Amino acid sequence: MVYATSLTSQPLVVGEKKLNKMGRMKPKQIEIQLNGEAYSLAEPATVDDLIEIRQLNPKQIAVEINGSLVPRENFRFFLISSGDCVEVVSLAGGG
Amino acid sequence: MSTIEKSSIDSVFEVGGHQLSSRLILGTGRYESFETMQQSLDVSGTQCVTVAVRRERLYDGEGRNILDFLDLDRYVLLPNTAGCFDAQTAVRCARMGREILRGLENPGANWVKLEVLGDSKTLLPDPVETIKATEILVAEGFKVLCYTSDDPITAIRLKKAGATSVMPAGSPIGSGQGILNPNNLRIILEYLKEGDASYPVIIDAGVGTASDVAVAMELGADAVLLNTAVAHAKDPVLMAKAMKAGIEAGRYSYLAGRIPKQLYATASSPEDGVIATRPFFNESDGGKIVGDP
Repeated sequence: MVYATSLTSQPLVVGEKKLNKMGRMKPKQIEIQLNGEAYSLAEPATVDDLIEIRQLNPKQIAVEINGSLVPRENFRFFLISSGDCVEVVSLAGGG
Repeated sequence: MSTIEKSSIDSVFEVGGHQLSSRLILGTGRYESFETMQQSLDVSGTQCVTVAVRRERLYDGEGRNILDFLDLDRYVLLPNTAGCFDAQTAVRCARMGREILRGLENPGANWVKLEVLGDSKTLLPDPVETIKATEILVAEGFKVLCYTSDDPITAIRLKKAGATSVMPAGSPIGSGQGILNPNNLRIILEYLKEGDASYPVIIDAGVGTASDVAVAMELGADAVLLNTAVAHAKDPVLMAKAMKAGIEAGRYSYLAGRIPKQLYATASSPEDGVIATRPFFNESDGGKIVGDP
């Protein structure tokens, strides 16, 4: 499986899928802070959607929104809102 | 106590609900490649490795992840809160580390190496914030292994706050200065283990070479946690092997019981039946050596 090398370098695609399913003209974009950087996301977006966009392995990450941990069991229905401060972390080498 | 009894007591090191056959805990940072890290961990005999929690940017120059090089069936991961400078951030970091390890189904999900720093130049711990974070994390069910300085009073405070293990530094992180204040470590070991001999005290940080590890273990530490001394050695894999030997040498010396240090010599060979006269320096005789012509 190929993963993204950076959280902010990938184009947004999941909103288009939702658009087609829902038959709307244009998805509403929300602005969030993702790992300290501005990021646009098509609404509605769950944590799972974000993980899919970023092509991340959900087992290897943790997600925090506005300072509160999102348990992985909630990834599929936790909605990200405009202005949210989202942190996505994983493991790195350390002492 | 017989040697056999001692070695059976020494067979397993228990900390935070984990039973470890090795008393060496190794960090996974600062290696020039994941392959070198992997080989170093392998030869060190460690069963427990520390990892950091970082914003998702997880791949080396070749797009590889550290988790591709860590056998999760072999190693218990110990997530740290390195880089945090206040209790609240450290607590958030610990929660995220636990969540990742839950996802990985690694037994290390129950514990954390708490590191709350006070200064970015010395990387010395902030004792007030460390105690505060310990109390919060213990209340949330974490087994908290606390990185701290070699100050005995802070060590006592951390144990009272519910720390699973207190981990005093031998010297500043990554400095390679070894054990700077063995007397403070002796006091910490004495106080923390008083009436609680199995309370784990781990020397964390400052190790430069295998003799530093041996010194720490000879003092009575339960284990040593180190990273840079291996990762930045000229030959990390060989140094990992040396650290393993240092742990064993120090641990066995501690259990065996060293002889007391004395100012004067004691002959190893019999003093009786020597064929020569025994010269000695006699100040009252104007410094003349008895036995000289």
